[in-house]
Amino acid sequence: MRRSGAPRCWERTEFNLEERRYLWLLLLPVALVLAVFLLWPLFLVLWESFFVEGTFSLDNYLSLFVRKLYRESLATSLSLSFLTSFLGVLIGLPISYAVYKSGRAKGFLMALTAIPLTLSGLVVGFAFIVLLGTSGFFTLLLKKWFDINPLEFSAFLFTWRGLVVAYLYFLIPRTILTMVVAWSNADWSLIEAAESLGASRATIARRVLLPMLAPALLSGSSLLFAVSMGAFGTAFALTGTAVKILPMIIYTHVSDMSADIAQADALAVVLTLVTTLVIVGYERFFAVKSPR
Amino acid sequence: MMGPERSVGVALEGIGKRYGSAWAVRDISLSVGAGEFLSIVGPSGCGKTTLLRLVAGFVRPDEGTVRLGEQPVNDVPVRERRVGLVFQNYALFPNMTLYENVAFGLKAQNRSATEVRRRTSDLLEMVGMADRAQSYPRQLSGGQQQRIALARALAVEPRVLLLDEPLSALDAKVRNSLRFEIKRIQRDSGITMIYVTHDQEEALSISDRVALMRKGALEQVGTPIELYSDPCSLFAADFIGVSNLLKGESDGEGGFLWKGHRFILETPVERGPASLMIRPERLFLAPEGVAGANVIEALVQGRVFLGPITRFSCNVEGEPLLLDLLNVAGAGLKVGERVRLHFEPSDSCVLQDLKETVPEGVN
Ligand SMILES: Nc1ncnc2c1ncn2[C@@H]1O[C@H](COP(=O)(O)OP(=O)(O)OP(=O)(O)O)[C@@H](O)[C@H]1O
Ligand SMILES: [Mg+2]
Repeated sequence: MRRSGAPRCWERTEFNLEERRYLWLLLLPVALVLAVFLLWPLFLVLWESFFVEGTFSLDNYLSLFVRKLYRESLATSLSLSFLTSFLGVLIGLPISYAVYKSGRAKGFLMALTAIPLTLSGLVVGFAFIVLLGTSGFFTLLLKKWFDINPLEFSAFLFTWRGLVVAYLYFLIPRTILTMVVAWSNADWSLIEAAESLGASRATIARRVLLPMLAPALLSGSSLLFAVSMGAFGTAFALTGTAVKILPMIIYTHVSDMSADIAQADALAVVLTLVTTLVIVGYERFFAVKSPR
Repeated sequence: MMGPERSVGVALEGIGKRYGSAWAVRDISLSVGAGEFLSIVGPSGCGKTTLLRLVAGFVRPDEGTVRLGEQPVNDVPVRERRVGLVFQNYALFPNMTLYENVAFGLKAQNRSATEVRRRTSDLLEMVGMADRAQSYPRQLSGGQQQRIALARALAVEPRVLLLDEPLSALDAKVRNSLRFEIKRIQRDSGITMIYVTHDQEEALSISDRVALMRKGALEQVGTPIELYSDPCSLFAADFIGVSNLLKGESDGEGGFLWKGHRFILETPVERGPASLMIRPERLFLAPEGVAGANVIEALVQGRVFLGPITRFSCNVEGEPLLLDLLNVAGAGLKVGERVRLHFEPSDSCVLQDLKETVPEGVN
């Protein structure tokens, strides 16, 4: 059945040894940029985190086990990020389908979707205060119409619930943008084939559609998780240091009078490590289930 | 080929489908017998895929009725129509093994476990892929994938199998062998097949009947022999096979006037401008010294070797004329040689392409 002649699209181009030796030259510029702007700072952070007042020590890491605050903030960050990335995908997925199907309005809707991504987290936070805060636009409108108590109504905004809502504001657009691409690349003939074979909507969704979207859902939710774990500005604007997420603790260590840069470094290393581990573990777990 | 007593597999009655203001298919009435192999051919954009999707149920007709057997199915959703589909891009489920792919429809229809197992094995056997049951589609060549797609569609015993250019993505050798395998499967299983292709040679070689489409309408429907030797229009003559079309005039008394010649026709046709079609293999070298009707003097200008035959392009007062000669010992002409060509009246056919005078659409 093999044909000779023109190469198939799935036959990877093979370089011979001679060519391969020079292939890395192409990667050199990218590697340089990565080294200077990513690896070097990361290394510095890592390096400094092992020193307490000039001497080598693991204290900055051990304090993670000693100080309850660190453990709790890591737990808060993790649960906030799990919750928001889950909700972000859940809400964003149907919207992304609607955008994909919107025909002529699609380009406009995509541009609109991208706007929240250009705003700084701080701006998003303040925007929510202006709209839903105690004397926010919608709060006052609701007070006028339904006679609600502004204080009671907007109290949620300054707790972790408020963070969930505000985070979704910049997470849902990310889902939409990744999933619109996934819908456009979807092979609809698979769905048509399944339909002609008599499969129900539920069967098609579970056995054909979900596996087809799985790679995009996987990388999309990983992205949301990473963004959530690192977000800082929005939380700072809404809750100050009241909701103790890990980036906030790092911030206080850097900005306090009694700055403890090395401790902040260690926490930053932990944040990076945990985020990476969760994403790698998550993708491994699901990649096994959907052979592609 | 199709006995009049044969029951109906698929019937289209006055079908029309519009996209915006343009008709993708229009005024199509066609009946496919149960167990018949019907090909649909036509140039790109003439509505072949649309017609197939109307039968499958992905597209609703704006006009007319689609019937499967005796049942009108305009309001029956795809999943209840029991039609099989084979696509150009195979469309196998990449996350399932070949076994699971073939078993998918049977399971979706809640057939018993023993039936699922038995039929899946039978079908894998039929397409010669039983030993690869546990492979994934990406591990197969295109031809092998299309065999599985065929098995998957046939597993649920559809009322009709619809194939949309199933071999177009394959290379010539695989295409040739798979084409006859599809034909064999169709004959053995007695299933009704509607087979869309843009390759008229493919259609002629495996079909009971061929439907030629043009701009959303049916141009001609008939057996391969009918379409080849008795095209109904210039378009049909041009699309099916290779032909010489001599633009001239009928004198209304059994003669055809072309460049000072008067050819004798088999049966007289109405007076007026017309074209005379002669297939290149129906032209012969006239024996030396024979004069008479239906003889054309020509100059050999070029030759193309095509294996069993050589195709010569000849020139008759500026008009090109193609001539096919079998490559047997002693045959062959030299470029620059003067020849006298001859054809039998019964081997020619006068076409008055009335449809050609209709203003052309955008496609
Ligand atoms: N979903 C659609 N929306 C708008 N126009 C369509 C749609 N599907 C088909 N058409 C139009 O209908 C006409 C017939 O298309 P169709 O796909 O049936 O052609 P085809 O004969 O299958 O062509 P090809 O040989 O290239 O596959 C074309 O002019 C096409 O532009
Ligand atoms: Mg088509």
